[in-house]
Amino acid sequence: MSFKKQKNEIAAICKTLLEEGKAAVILGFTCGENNGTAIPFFMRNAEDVNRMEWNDTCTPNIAKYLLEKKDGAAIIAKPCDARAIVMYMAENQINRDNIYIIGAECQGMKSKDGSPAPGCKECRIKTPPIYDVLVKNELIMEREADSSPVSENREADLEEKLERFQNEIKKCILCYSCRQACYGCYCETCFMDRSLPNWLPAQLDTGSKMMYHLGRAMHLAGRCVECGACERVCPSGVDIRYLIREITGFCEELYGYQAGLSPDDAPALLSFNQGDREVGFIGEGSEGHDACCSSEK
Amino acid sequence: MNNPYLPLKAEILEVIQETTSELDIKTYKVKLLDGGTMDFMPGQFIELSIPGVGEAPFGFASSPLNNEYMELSIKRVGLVTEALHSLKAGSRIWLRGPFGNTFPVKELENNKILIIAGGLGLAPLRPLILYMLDDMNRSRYGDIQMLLAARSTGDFIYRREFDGWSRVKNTNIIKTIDRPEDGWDGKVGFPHILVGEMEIDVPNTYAVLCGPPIMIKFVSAKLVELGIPREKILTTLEMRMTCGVGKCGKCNIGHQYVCIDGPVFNMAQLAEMPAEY
Amino acid sequence: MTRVVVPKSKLKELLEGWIASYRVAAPVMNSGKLVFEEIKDFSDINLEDNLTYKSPKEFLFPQVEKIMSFGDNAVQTGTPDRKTVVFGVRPCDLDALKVMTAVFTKGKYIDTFFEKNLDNTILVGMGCLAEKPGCFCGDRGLDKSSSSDCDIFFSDNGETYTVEILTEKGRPLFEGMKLEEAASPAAIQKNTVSGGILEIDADENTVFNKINWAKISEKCLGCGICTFICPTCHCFEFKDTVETGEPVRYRCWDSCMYPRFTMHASGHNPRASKKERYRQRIMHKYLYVKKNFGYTACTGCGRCIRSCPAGMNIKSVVTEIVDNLRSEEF
Repeated sequence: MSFKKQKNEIAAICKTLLEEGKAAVILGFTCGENNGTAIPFFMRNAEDVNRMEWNDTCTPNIAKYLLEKKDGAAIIAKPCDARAIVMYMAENQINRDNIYIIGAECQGMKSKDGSPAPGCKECRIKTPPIYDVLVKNELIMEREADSSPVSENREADLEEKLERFQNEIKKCILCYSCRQACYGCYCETCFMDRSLPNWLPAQLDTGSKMMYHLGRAMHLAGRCVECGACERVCPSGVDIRYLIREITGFCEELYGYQAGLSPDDAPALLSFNQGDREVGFIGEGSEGHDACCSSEK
Repeated sequence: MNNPYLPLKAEILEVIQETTSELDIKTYKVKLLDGGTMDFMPGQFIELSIPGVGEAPFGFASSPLNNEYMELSIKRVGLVTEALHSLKAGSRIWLRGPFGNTFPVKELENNKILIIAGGLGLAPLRPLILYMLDDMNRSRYGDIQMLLAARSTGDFIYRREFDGWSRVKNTNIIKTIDRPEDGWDGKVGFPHILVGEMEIDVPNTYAVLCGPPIMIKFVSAKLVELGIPREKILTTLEMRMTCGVGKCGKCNIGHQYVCIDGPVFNMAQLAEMPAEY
Repeated sequence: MTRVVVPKSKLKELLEGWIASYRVAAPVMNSGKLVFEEIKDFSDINLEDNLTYKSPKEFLFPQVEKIMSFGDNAVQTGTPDRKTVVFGVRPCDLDALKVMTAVFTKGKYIDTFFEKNLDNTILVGMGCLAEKPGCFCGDRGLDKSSSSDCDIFFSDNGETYTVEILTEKGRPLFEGMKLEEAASPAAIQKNTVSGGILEIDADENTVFNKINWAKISEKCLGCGICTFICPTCHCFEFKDTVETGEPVRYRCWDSCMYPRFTMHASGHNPRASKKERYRQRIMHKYLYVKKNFGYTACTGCGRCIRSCPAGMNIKSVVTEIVDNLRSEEF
């Protein structure tokens, strides 16, 4: 029921914004034509707002469209969308002044079969960390972090880890939908598309797929906002995030940093402080890494 | 049926460094291992493969009447050309072709010809120039004027041949660079300005241009202004290509494929095509 | 053309005979998705009245195909010379393969790799009983229950199949089977197509310049999934590499929706933004292929509509374009 209340409130806000000329376009959702999942929707007038939808199928992450709206826009932001916007600010990709954020508290989205959508099950951030106006939802519950599902991966030995990764990645067809859907993948030329140097091997074999997913995981280190968009668009049902979740966990443990919570926080891997731990680099060795220089912090 | 994807083996006979500027252009004299040269006409192109590296399209740059070797003038700009530029005489490469349409050499007969080339744009025009200048053919064409432009003296290609060309009967060359340089005795200025100062017998002239897109745009506009009909202004386009035979969907402009319906087009045709090139 | 009746109880025997002599691909349920796969066992086949998630084009036009290796002389390899039967291909996919065949084998040049794969493949079609959400093959002028763009065509009649053997190539599949002749054509339910066909009949410059492509393509993510699962999409790229010392060339699917599809080495890109790429996709399918080969390269299978994460709908887009063009005439 609370989604419905939120929807009415959001619709009212949208209509006011458009009437007062405060936004030329509002990014939101509407009903998908076929399978019931909501799809992104760009509203420009009151009639559009009447077609707006806000419910537990609003899974797409729409923050990425802001990168194209150079003249500014308003956006109905779930907490994960808002985290993406915070990261865009931290990485100087958008101008906060011409974006109006309608923050919406979220009780979690559902997949087509009724189970929690990827990203929603373990989501801990129910209130958008940034907004111009907040639309509350009284059904949200703060939830404790589940014991990390990736911890069992850390316990496994290298052979098992490799096998698990390769089995998962076998399903991948290298369509790059995950890259296109991810807020953080906005490089003008993705490393996979470069011909000089030529990263992408010719064959569509496990090696190429591993290269792509590992590369992307590294590029998202400390940047993933855990929205699950990558898994939602994957046509083959690959568990894309399990390594990324592990890296995200590392960032929290080592640097006390969670991506997208505050625009004033410098992203963990974009800044260096004297006290930063260097696990895996020099000094503090972790399994497989010998200290190659004298231990210096 | 002939497999259009199978390349033929060729050998590099000689490598000539054309430019002395940061624009690295080399001319490769190549010969097929069996058969010498391909049967081609001015305007056509080949796909050149370096095994293990890749394949890319290049226009012929030599005379179609040369039965000893073929020439390709290639700028170092990406993956394939980088690898090619490290090859020396004696190295093997693979060629397939010839592909594409041709300059309408019959239609050009009995007309005056105005050639305007900028930088590397002179390369795909050279087969046409050499074809027309050849003793066998020269008398079939009227006066030939060439306006050859480059950014600087170090950016010219085939400069060693210009004197020879201008010594052919009724053939005249004007060279121009963008900015004055010590010791330069040619003109200084952009082609689209200089072409307005040339004497052109408008009703009897065909113009053939090739160069950077911006040059083609301004020069063709000037020629239209001078009164040359669009059908008589020819150019040759380049596009990213893969198959070269109209199947892979890369090089189309509207419904036309540059590899099959081009690369030679006239301005009237281009005006009818979507502006996506 | 011969018409026979195959009782459903006999299907196993029929298919097992094929499996013994050919590579057989059929719809299979894999990780919750219906896809075409090579089968070794009749029981793997899923015959529900549904459309596979991906199209069967990969049996004629593989996603990754090693087309040659460079030895002393270029050696043509292509996909291994295997006689293949693809069973259960729906009319939309058969129409798509017809379009793809025209593109690859007509015109000045013939794609010999595709041609060889086509020669080695027997297409066995199956009519649909009901439309799926998103399907619009009827609007594209197709009859979902029948097609003659194949070697053999199955129609589901409840307890039996009525099977049309359309080509000599397909005949060997029924050798040795004792089957009764089917009744006259009236026994087969044919759907008539009413109303106009969804297509674009306009000058390409008008469609290119007058339609508001920026607005139409706003939501598109550029993920390219539409081109992967589309039965007519056929753009490709060559990738060269060295394998165990031997330089080889692969032909791989490429997508006009990818940002680097038309990128020149110089850095110039004729289709630098999303709107240009989306425009290319629609115009290529509805105008350019029609102009060059006579067929619209969209069969109304609805796969792109069902799987687009941003809800792009090619049927709505084309309908909107047709309406816009019509209103401009006034």
